[in-house]
Amino acid sequence: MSYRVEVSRRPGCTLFDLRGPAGGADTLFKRLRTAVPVRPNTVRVSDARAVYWVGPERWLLREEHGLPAGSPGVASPALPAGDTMPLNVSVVDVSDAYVRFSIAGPDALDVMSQATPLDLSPGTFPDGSTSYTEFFGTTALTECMSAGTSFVVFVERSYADYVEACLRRVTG
Amino acid sequence: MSRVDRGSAPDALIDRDSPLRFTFNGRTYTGYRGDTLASALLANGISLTGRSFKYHRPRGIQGAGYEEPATLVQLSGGEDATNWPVTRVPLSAGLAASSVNCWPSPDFDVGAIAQVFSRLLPAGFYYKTFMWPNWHLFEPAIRRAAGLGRAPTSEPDHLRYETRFHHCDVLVIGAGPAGLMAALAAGRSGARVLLVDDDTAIGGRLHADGDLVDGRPASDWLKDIAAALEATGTVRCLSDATAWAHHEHNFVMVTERGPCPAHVFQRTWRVRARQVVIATGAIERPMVFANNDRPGVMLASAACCYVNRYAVRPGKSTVVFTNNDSAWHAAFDLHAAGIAVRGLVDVRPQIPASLLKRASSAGIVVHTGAVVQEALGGRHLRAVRIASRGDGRKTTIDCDLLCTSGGWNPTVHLYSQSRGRLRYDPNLAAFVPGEARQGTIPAGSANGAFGLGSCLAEGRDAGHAAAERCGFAPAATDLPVVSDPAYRIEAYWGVESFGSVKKAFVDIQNDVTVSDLELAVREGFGAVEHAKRYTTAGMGVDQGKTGNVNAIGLLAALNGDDPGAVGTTTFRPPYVPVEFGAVAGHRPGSLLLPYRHTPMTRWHKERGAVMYEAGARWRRPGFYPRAGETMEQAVTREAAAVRNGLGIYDGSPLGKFDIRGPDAVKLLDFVYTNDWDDLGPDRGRYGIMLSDDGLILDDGVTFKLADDHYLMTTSTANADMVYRMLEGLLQTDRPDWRVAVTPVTEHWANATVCGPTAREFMRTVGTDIDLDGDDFPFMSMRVGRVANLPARMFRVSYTGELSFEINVPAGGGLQLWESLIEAGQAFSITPIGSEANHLLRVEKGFLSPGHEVDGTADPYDLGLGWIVSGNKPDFIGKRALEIRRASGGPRRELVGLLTADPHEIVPEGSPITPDGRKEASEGFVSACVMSVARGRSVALALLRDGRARIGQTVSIRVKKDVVRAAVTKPVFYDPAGERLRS
Repeated sequence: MSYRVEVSRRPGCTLFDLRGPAGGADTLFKRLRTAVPVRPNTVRVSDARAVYWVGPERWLLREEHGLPAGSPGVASPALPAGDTMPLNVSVVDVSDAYVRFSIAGPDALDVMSQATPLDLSPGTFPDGSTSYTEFFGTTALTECMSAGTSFVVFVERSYADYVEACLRRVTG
Repeated sequence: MSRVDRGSAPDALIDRDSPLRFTFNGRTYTGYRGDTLASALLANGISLTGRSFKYHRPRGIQGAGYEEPATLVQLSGGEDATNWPVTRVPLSAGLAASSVNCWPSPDFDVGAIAQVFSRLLPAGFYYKTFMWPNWHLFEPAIRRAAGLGRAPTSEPDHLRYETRFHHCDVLVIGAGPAGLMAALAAGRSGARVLLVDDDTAIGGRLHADGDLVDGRPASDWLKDIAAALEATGTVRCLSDATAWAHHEHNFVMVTERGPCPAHVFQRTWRVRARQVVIATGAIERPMVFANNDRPGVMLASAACCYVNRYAVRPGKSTVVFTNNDSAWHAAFDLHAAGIAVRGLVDVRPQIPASLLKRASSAGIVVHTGAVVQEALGGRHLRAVRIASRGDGRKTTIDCDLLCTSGGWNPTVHLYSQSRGRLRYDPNLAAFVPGEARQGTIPAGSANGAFGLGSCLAEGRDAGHAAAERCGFAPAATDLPVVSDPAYRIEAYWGVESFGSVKKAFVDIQNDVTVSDLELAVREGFGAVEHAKRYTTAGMGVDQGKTGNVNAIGLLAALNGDDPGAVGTTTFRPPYVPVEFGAVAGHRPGSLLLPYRHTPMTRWHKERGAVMYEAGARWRRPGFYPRAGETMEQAVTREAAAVRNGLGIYDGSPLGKFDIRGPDAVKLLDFVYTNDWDDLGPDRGRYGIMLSDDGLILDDGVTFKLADDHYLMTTSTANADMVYRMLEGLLQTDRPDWRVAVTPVTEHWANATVCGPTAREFMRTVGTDIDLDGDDFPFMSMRVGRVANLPARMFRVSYTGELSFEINVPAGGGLQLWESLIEAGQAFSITPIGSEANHLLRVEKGFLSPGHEVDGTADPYDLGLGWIVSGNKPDFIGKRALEIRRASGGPRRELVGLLTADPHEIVPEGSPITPDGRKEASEGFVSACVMSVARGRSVALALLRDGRARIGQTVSIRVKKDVVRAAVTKPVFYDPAGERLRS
């Protein structure tokens, strides 16, 4: 018998790496009408947009639908008409830099604990938690979708084949 | 098939309804589910189970757990493994095992001839004997002879090893009485508890000792406490799981055998615990006397375990030899099980009246103030000779089992690994835990509390304390009622031989005798660590679990010292042997190390590219051999295609960083040696980064995308290191700079077309970018569309030819590549690998990290003094660079080399020495290739004062030869750079 878990690649999405002082970021998030995570290592989801706290003065903005308009690498989140991007915030399109894996099922924690040293138990890593961590020897962003049973992992694209092979092996 | 002799122990943990057939040394036997191989062999009357390591003496089973020093077995079939203690092999249907260290069998072992010469083989004999003419002459044969079992030759495909991480508040190691109470107390307090035990059933010694708990059989209490643990909802129990390493910050390694799900063979838990309760129990030590290794000599606690837990009588008539009270209770247990106790020999002259009274009622003859002088018998014990310590009077008692107990050693291995101090307790004649160095709490027998009642109480208190340290309020946990007999002991280390010259073993597994230790002391190796290495005491597979303290006691006696003053040797992981697979876990073969793919990797593989790592875990095509082509032919063909026509390579792994902010130029000016404030938009500039000590760290081209917005490229291998350096700089040294660095290597795929026809080709691909050389000059970039994909195009060249580097978001990388390949058919486009790239860059004299940039060169050494700005007040490495240059000493400088033989390829790294003599080198060859442009070999080298020696001849030392080469400028192709700028 193998682990009761489903591993799948998630469809692509639009991702922006945001860096800048808190004041500038607040301005940006207000203009985006987007909720901001208050506590470190948490994610706030509103509509089809999510903001991940991934470090001091650093966030990851995910837009589930649509690709950035404009030229590659200089795209930016879709702002309401008339609004502009704050000058002191670095917004970099990294949509193609990551591949997302979903690991879900009753034994998801058994599988995840083989990949990462992070404590993912429900009491420590509840719904809405997120953190960069080691993942099969690489670095990945882990998000808890449902405590103990469902996780999404953002893996750097170049490691995706390797991570998928690892996941296939450990799930039995 | 032999008989099966099982007793009627009511609480035995064997399932008599599940008989199992197994083979040992080729013969078939039957045991029951719940047996170990040891208990099943004893039940079948097998007492001679192996041969000893050095002297090939007959050996039997002495213990009942991991402490077993005498019998190791080789497992074959599906679970091929070696050197397992026979006592730790659970019986299974079809199990096939054999003795180690004997041939052809333990009954008739050719190696037993060593016993004849045993007087010539004292400790360290081979260090002294095999010195001439050379130790290595004898080493292979000695290593073969010294080996125990045979390592498995293949990985069991159907069995998987697994490793996982686990976090808990309290880790309790050991599920004996103390550990169970600790887990219950901590669990009821609300702490997350992991309870691990190396046995297949919880309870520890309760299964062996036959104690009553709360007036009921211990087995009933164990059922209750198992239910209570489950009811807490916070305690997780692992059985058949051994904690074998205790590192800093309570990081503990635990290996579990046969876990769920079934496809997992062994699972190693990497446990991070806030608090650890060490309830690992105690190990009984044997008595030391002549022939104390004979089959039939057994630890008293082991004999009780076989009787009570496995319903096996290991003998019909026994003598018990001890120096402490616990063996008396063992004698009573054996008597109750129907084994005739022929005598109870105690070194102590005075024995508590209650014990004497009980022995008398059982009809056991007691010999106080006496010792067993010698065990008699060859392949099996037939009698013992005892001697009075007072007058030396000797008596012989017939028996087929001799149970010995020299006292109990708290199992302090893990506690010591955690850096906890140990101290010698003369009242227990044992080392016990002292001051702890991290969040570890010893409890029960592991803490020197050998009575059942004190074990239970210490366990509960430890559980409460551990939970409280984690912030949980202790919850009420009642203690069961038990009897708690006293434990009294008189230290006895076996130094009295009473005239016997037979071997008395201190370390049974490694065949270390009392006389070996005496020799060590005589030769000046009396310190415990010296004696260990001189005699190998404690260095066997069992790590001296039964022998170490006896060795320490004996050394103390020989030195006229106290065991506490002698001290212990260092306890190191692993506590028990651990299979490599259990440590490596789920990453065999191709998954051993992470690897990285570009979006085009599958294409490369499908076209037969030879792939290998080219830095930073990227697997890249080395070359694309055609049918019948050698590597050299393929590389030459690919390089020639670039020089004469059109090549394409996958440049995706190149490091890329998006740099934004008003202080972006300030950052570039600080990390590069040259000036950046005058770089125009859409233009690029080559830069060199230095380390703090003024040596080249990395190089690359940075483009200006817009005001305050740049794209930095780095070498593939150094990208992560450069990013760490930039982040470190901005986060710690220059937090006030308003600039952000974002890695975008992964976001962009890169296909680079290069060659004289590259521009003509690109015009056919379909792009809205003006490719004309005047509008799109060398070292500039454009944004537009290529092959219907949004793209950034750069004019940079690492091959020395006209090149276009096309970057698209990685999701479109394969589409771009395939479009270019398809369109390139009309131009005979040739994919090239990293080998051809290397050849082409050597022809041009371009630098490569790991070759010319080897961590010792500064910009001037490599002819790049022009890139060091004299205008800037500061940049990283400036001061060190200037100091070094001011010293004026000779430096190794980059030069080209042309070998006298134009077909000679010199291995990279070959030293250059004066006239080829074997002396200090004056440089080395950093790269050597067969140039397609020159039609001969060309090389780059770092040579002392190299630029001043251009035109001279130098000598390169290669294997068994010296190669002469002319020193040249380090550019062999298009020195003016006209082609790449075209």
